[in-house]
Amino acid sequence: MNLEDLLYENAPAARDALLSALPPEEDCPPNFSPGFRRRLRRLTHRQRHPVLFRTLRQAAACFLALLVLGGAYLGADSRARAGFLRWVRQVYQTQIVYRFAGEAAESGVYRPGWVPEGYTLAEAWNDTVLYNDPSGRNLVFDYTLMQSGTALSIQDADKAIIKSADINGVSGELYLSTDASLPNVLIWLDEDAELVFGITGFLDESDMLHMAESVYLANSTN
Amino acid sequence: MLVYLQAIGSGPEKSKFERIFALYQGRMYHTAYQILRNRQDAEDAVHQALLAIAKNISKVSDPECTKTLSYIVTITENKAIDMYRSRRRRSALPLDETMGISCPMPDGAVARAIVGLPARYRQLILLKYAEGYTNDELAAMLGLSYSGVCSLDQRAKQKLQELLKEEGIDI
Repeated sequence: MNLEDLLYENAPAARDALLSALPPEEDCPPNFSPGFRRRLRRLTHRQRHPVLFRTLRQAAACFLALLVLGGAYLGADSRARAGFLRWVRQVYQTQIVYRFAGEAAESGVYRPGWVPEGYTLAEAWNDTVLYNDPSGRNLVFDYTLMQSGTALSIQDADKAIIKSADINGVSGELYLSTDASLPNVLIWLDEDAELVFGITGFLDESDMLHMAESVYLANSTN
Repeated sequence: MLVYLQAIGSGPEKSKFERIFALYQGRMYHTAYQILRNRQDAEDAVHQALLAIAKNISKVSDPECTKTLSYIVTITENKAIDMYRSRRRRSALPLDETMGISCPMPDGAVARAIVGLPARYRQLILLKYAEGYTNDELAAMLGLSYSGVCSLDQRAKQKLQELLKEEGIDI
């Protein structure tokens, strides 16, 4: 019997074992927070009144359009606009969180055109590429299409020197770790593509920037 | 929730989505909490899973069947693992090696080896070989390209063969 046949024959038993570990639904009523429950109530309400909510959404869109047209400085300063309308950067004690408050577009597939010598491709998914150096340390390039309400966080931001960076005219931030066990992080926000790009690895500043500048759109969805 | 509705099309699909949430919300939260051990993070993972389910709601034929439960649990586990990884300072850990929820060992060496796979591999194997989803459907469900699914399938099988070899089974 070949492997495929074995999988078809045995996967249901594995699936049943996994599902048997779950408690019955009545034994695990979720303890959702008031905030989560509010979102659920909005969902139910929206489903019952789709026309009302479509109208409200159109009104909100008009309001935003007016806001953009009226805010001259927002139109002139892309960084300000990113911070004001789409991206919000919040600093907590040891954490920096980027929140997205716009509507997401479709993303293509992006890839770095250059990686430092010695790094080899280990794995590649749509939005994540993993490289290894000869000693087995990882270098990750990834990007995230942000949807309204989602967030990207940088942990242990207190253990890093934060520097502004410019990647082909796009603003970014470089987190140079002061702890040798933590990788450096470079992130940059492409507001046109509504993507946040990141490189995480044990590279120096110059290599981080060089790699970031080499990123290109390998496959467009449009 | 606003985004869920943008992702869902017609009326019947909306009620299907509501039915799924009513049937599985507890187990979704339980699954996410097992991995994240934090209420807020578990809620966020459930939120992300609901977004993914809304996007793929047309692939759910019957809300009340084992296939749907398996899909819901898998997607929730998948999102919880993504969140766990993102909580580790944009972790440089390989995604494939993350273990997910635990369960009792089934009878049979092959089924045990499947359960022992890293979560990302196990999820694909179960959705494909137990539930019968196609590579195209899996690509949409797991947010991968078609070639990404094929590649993950190959790696999962390789890992499975390694695990079976350790048990003295050579395929």
